Amino acid sequence: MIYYKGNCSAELVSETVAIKAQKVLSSYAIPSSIIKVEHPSSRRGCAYGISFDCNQRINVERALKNAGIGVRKWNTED
Amino acid sequence: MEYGGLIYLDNAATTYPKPPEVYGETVKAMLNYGGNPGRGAHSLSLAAAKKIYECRESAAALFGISDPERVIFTLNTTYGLNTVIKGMLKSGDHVLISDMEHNAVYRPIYKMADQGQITYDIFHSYPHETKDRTKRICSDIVQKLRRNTRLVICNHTSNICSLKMPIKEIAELCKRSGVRLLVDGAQSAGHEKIRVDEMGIDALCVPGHKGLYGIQGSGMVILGRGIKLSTLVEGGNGVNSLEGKMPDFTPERYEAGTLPTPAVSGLCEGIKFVKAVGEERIAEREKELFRQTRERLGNIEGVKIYLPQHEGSVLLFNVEGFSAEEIGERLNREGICVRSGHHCSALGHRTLGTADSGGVRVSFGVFNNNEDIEELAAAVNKTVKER
Repeated sequence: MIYYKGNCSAELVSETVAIKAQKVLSSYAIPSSIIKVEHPSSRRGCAYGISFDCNQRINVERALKNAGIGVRKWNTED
Repeated sequence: MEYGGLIYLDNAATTYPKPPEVYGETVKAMLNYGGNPGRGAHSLSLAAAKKIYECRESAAALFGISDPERVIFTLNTTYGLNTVIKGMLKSGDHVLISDMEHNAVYRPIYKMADQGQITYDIFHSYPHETKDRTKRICSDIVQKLRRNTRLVICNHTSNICSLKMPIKEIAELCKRSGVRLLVDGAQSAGHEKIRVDEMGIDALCVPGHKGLYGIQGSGMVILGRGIKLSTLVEGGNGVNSLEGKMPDFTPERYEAGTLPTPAVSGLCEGIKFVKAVGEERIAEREKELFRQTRERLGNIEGVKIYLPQHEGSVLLFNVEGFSAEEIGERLNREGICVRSGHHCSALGHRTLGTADSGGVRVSFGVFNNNEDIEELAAAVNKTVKER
């Protein structure tokens, strides 16, 4: 699994949405990787997300918002 | 088209053969990306999930919806219809179904009514009308609507003949009346353009293995905007695993259990094939074959063709002095595959007046050619002469 610089990630509701999000980001030329979230914020169990370069955070937010993709939680890991 | 010496004219049951790409991708799914989609983030699971998503996107584009998440994979059309019917109806609801419905609609409705959960009425499709048919159908629906009518269910094209229903007009009527519309697209998907959002359809159920040229074990529900159903089946789907209740988002809400990745992957290629050929070209080719069959069989003494004016991919006939099963059997001996009997359509055969006799159904696909029809006509002719 590729984690991008700064390990920023967006927690999403499902893998389907994570694939969709990756495709959206790809159309903006933003590289990302689909990840399984280790400790989901909802505590509901298995959740997926996308990992990306933290420098792209604003662009990722904008791209996902434009595509109508809701983010459960934004994570920045040290 | 001959396969192993056989002529296949039973494409309404399942299309055969499939485009080579469909076989190729189905096998590739098993060989190259055999993980379980949505069940982990390892490479093989993710590769399978991406292929599934690609198929959702292709289906969404084909059926004119903006969100691939509104494409729900099912095992077949029947499963999809049960998902919508049982997920949408509540105790005390009233339903309207057409008099041409397949048992995939009739039986779940019949059972629910038999158990006292719902009531239903049947509206007329007026198959023999040549003038104002659409108007009469809509008028009959309006007359039968009740205050508690929740759902109208209607096939797009019949599975026993090529009779079509005016879906757009029925959808407009349902919208005005605050009633949902469920369309059985088993015989129209891949044969003609269906635009779910534009046409105002609330749910469309289609097979993957018929006009979309996928393999058996694939089907879809295409949900209209804002449609939320109660679930038919509950279980694991790889998300919110610590919760007892199913998630409230699509498609996972309706896809409990492992998806048939090889079947969905094959379907993905089938959809690409249909898009490449074009639904209009497919429909036109099938009509040509219909006209040729109508002409050839129509010239044989004792052959009766039902609704010959409704051209399409399905033609129903009988031969005087023979049972439908006998004709089917004799054609099979001549190496021609057709389907005889009642085609799982009690209502349709009653409507056409063929409930007692059944009928012989010839159904075309893109791989059929004019020679197939000549062979069929020759075989029917031979049978008639042996009488």
